[in-house]
Amino acid sequence: MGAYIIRRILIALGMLIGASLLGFGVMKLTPGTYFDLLKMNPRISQEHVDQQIARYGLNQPVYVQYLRWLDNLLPFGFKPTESGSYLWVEESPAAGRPAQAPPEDEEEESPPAASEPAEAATQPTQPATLETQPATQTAQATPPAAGAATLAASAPPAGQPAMAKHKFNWPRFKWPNLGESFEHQEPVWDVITRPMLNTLLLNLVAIALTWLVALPLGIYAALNQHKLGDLVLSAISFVGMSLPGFFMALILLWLFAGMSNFLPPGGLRSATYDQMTGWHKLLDVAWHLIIPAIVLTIGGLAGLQRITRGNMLEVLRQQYVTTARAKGLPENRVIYRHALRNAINPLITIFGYELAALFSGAALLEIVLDYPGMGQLMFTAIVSKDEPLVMAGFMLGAILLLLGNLVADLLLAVADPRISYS
Amino acid sequence: MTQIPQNVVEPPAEEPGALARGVPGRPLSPLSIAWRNLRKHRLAMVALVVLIIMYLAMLCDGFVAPYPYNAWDRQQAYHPAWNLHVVDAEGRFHLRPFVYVSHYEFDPYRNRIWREDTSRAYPLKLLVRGQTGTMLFGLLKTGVHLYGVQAPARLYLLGADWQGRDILSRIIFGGRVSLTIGIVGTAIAMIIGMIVGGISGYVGGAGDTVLQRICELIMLIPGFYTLMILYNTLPASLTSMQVYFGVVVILAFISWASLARVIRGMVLSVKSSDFVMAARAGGSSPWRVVTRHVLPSTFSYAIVAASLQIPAYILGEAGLSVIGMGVQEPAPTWGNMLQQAKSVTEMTFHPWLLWPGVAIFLTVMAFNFLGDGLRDALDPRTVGLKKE
Amino acid sequence: MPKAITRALTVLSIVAVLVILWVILRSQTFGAGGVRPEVAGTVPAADYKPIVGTYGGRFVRATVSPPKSFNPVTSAETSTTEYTGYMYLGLTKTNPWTAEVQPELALSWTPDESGLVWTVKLRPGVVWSDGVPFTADDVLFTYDTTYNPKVSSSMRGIISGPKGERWKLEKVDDLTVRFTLFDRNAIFPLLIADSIIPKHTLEAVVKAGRFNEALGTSSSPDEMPVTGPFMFDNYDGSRVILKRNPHFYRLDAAGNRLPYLDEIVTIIVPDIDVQTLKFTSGETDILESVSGKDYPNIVRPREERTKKRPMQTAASRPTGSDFTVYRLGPSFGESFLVLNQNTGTNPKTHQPYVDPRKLAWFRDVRFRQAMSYLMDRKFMADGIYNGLSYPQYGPMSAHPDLPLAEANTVRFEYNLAKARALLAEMGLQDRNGDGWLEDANGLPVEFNLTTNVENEPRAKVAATMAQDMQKVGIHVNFRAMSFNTLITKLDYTYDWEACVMSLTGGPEPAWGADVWKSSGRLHMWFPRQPKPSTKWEVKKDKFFRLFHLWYPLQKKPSTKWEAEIDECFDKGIAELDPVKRKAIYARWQEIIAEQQPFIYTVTPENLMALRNRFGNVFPAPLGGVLHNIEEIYVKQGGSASQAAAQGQR
Repeated sequence: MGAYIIRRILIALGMLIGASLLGFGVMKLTPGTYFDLLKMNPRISQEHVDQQIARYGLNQPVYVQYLRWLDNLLPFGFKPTESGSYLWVEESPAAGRPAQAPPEDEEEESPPAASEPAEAATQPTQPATLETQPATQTAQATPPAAGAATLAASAPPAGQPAMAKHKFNWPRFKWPNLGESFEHQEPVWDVITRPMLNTLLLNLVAIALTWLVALPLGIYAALNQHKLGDLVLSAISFVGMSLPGFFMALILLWLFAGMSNFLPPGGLRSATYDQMTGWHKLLDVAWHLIIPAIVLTIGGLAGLQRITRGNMLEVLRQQYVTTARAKGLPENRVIYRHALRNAINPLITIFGYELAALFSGAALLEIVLDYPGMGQLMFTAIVSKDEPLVMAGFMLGAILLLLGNLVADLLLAVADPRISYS
Repeated sequence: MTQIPQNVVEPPAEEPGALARGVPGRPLSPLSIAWRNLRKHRLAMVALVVLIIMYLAMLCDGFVAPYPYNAWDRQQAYHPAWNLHVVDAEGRFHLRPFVYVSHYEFDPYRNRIWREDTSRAYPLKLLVRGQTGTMLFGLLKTGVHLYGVQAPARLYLLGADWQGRDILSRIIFGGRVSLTIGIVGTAIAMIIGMIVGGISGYVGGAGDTVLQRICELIMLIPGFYTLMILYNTLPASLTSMQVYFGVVVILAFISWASLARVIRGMVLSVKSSDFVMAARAGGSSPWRVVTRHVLPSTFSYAIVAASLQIPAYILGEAGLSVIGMGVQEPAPTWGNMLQQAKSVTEMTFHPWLLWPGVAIFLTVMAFNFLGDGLRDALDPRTVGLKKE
Repeated sequence: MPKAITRALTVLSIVAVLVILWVILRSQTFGAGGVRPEVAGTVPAADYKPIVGTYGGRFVRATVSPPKSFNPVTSAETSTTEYTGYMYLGLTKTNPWTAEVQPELALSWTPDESGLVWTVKLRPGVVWSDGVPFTADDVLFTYDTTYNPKVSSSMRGIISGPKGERWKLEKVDDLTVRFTLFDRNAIFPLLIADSIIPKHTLEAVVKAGRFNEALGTSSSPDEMPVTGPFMFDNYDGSRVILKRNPHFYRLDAAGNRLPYLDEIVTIIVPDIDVQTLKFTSGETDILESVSGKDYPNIVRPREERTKKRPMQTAASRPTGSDFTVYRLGPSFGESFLVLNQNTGTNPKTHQPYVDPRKLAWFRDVRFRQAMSYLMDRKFMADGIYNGLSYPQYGPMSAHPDLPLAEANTVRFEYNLAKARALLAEMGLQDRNGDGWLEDANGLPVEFNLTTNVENEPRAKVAATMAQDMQKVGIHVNFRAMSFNTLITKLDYTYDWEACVMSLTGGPEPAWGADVWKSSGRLHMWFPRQPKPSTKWEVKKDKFFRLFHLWYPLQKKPSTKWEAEIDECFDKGIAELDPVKRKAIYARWQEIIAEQQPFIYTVTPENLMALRNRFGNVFPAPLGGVLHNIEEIYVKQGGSASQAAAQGQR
């Protein structure tokens, strides 16, 4: 079992790198950068825009940009500066030098042997583009002495020898990070934590509601097969399954927020949220959650209810149920001890898949309902080409999918003794 | 590796002809058995009829719709739904419904106050000559419409949008995108899925591993984010036709992998079945075995999967269009028409703009019913179980 | 027969859903009854007489995008300036009625005779919010920082000369600064309206090279002393809270220190619709930039809500319609059509950016005038903005109150016949009777029209003009694209033909030098020209030779108009005499209105809505509702908590 999990995780890592390559590559197919937005403002100079572009390395080749992104993620880093060389660094800080001559400009000595393809690939950086941006270079580049500390935290120590000297750059431990968002100008992690939690909140509420409602209904429908209740339920679930979520959301929004002001029109908190006391805060959030949670629940309800019903019916036809009944066990015991357990087993995998869809599953709904979650954030980020943010959301979604699948498989093994992994 | 349990139909374990057990006389072809089963599923039949009507309307859109999709009339912006009358201004009843010419003025609060000019009634006519529209995907031109009213008056059964374009006509024309995207998309995904799944399952070995990894990679990426990112990569200079195909390909791209995996599983199980063994032993080439024996036995699954996947494409296109990523105006799709209704003001003051959502709902539901019926009809297990 | 029942039930429920939808979707269904909010216009400048208000209360507003930074030097985006505008004062400010420059941190600014040396006297007694006095050192520090090459300043390019010349600042005494400019600059008083930042907290940061990251959204309030009425308090990702600056320099008539309000809370609501709903449901106090499209919804009758929602606290929660909608006249966000007149060739492919056949049309003033005749500005107003917008014919015409506004003499009103006639004069007419225009060679007249997808009204404006172009027989392919793609085309690749855009405008034309001067990067129809393009009619191109037949026949070659615009801007910026300046810019407006490089469409009305519980509200055409935020107070009779808060002071 343990070996199996480790193998799965190793495969998953490879998959994630593939996914990141795919995502990054696809995103780079479109022309333009986030900073194009600034260009339409006559009050912002071209120089400022160029500086911003250089600051985030958007003028570099795509593979360098990808490696920069990947490098941020690694728990150990080669990259103390934005200069071309990853393996060899010039041990001369920017301090005391004229701004017109950034420390990187003469440094094109190849390392004797590029042991890893990643480093070899990053060698040819254009000094030309760097030269035009002395300001951001010096502002951003952390001197080599500071190792791989975060960019902003270190000031160049004064009074070091100005003589250039190359030194092997040992990889050092650093905290992995997801880069800095162009739009928010903050570390991506800081930007996404809150939307991520909001999305988790919405989805967990919706999943809980779905299961709490769908399971009893499914069981009820199976036990009362072909009776009125079952028929009503299956009719409703067909309608629920076919009503597009965004359309349902629009209708609910229109009925309860547009026409009657009964429910809040979107968002997650009222403006007066922080004046409220604890209890009211909870109510406020719950109030805002009603429309999105209902839409998500109805969307998931139909399918789950039907599957539960089907499984339950299937199980009830099995011989061991008949045997249990024949033994004279009370009907309740037959159903809840024998039948239900086996009927629910296959559902456990569904739970894993729901976990997988936790982040991206409600994206469209979040956008339509203006819910401050990951979907909303990703939408604006994708449209405005805020690449670090898009990559972060994309990768988080992929990780959750992987995790969800793994969990689904493991849960199945736990629930069903017939399945074992080796 | 485990086989992730799929809630799918298992492949028929026997030769299809043998399925017709319990039926005396000549053996029925699998298709006619399926058809017979389907006919018993009344809801699926209703759905089928509804879909046939929809597709016919879509094919003859220029004829069925009273106006071409881009027939604007700026005096009629946001005309409310249903201006057909049977009782005239004097209170007399007319058997033939008619419309009045109407126009609006703004009140101080910028509401449109509509007034009808009751001096002349324009009766509803069948086979009326009007603006020239196209049908059969633009192949044919037609100036004759199934129904309509004479020129200065306009018929607005489901209201008008901001340019005074008839919503009903646009819904009918929107079917060109919304009704076909599912079929084209499923076809693309199915072809890729069958090829990849077939090769992967039949050949096995390293090729199988590589293909499976690729499938897993595609299944790994979060769907809706990928849709949005991919849409953004479509070049700006595309025509709406090209955008349409772009969207189809994008949708197919994220959904072929699961099909391929399932088909691979089925091919694996069919590969070791007796009739394939027999074909191999008989000296058939692998290509022939795959195309003649292995893949056909996955067809029933393919048909069911297709009918169940089509709604996903319709919803995917509509979802993307609702947030502004899809075929752009003036070409109508149900999604981009709904995008106009997305604002709460529009919903409150012009709720008829929400009608395309109803069209999506009906279509998706019809496909769901049909898929359900097909699954039952083609499921070999249920064939025997069905009570006559 | 359970199967039959399930079928019947399903069909029934579908029918029920459809019937319900039919009933509710058929027509406008909101309830009658209730009260409509008031609608008001602007107040004349003469009526601006603020009264003494009371302390306390919070003001809640909503904004579209989260703040990226509170650094007024490095960021010029709205998402920053909407806060820094309250936090940091400039040396001057503009009058919200007349756009005249008024004293703020500076009391006076006087040029010497050369017009190059300006002496700026600072206001005495101003202190930063941490109690440190504001002096000339802060002004010098601000401009040093702006010119610092390590600082990514958005303003540096604007206050630097073409060869990198800089302003020289000298401290005469603690409250006097002498600016020595490198050229005569009429808008110098406007340019020094930019925020002044504190030296005592930021000097070390600049020295450490960390200024670009300073004053970020995660900075602590102690790091940002301000001179403005409000100071930063807290940002938690969804709300920005600015709190009252107890050291703000202005006093009211009774000698109380302004501002009156305790807090300005800005909640981040990306969707304008949701902003509207949050306002009408009472969550926010102001609705800025209402679209004309939403106007009927905002002024619709609303029932006074009596029942409290469960989570409402004692904090004031206004009811349904206790607000006033202000119609403030034309805004500055006009949309225009621009045709690509770039004669250049792509250096990589050696292909012209624009098909020479089309370029000849686009560079022909008659073609542009014909396009202007095709603008159905009445429908654009009615269909897109519910009639709440103003037709626009020239670069500055829409706003009547501007000092430099001038009625344009030439107006090309919607007239398809005149458009056809002009096109026919150019030789573009329907030659084969198919209803579409052809040029002299029988080739169809066609071009691509684009705009960005994100801006819905603009896309609708573009769709409207495309229809009229098609109506006169031009094959126009309209396709909206994403903003980034569009900007890439406008700014780098130049491979576009016609485009609907808008620019951040303002009352002062000199700000638009980058747009109007032929060397400007926003000179969209032909940006970054080394010289005004005067040579184009001599260009020996095989396509052009065909057109030579009629080129000499043109009445007025008008090739020099771009050069004349350049001249207007060069003279205008150097002219300190307001009367002469006005004449110079009037000439510029005439040229634009005649030449139609930008074919203007409509300017939406500037609409805002504000709760009635605020006093001292004097809406101004340029400044909007909040120009005197420090004087705005919560009227008596508010909720209990506010009364309590007031009692504590």
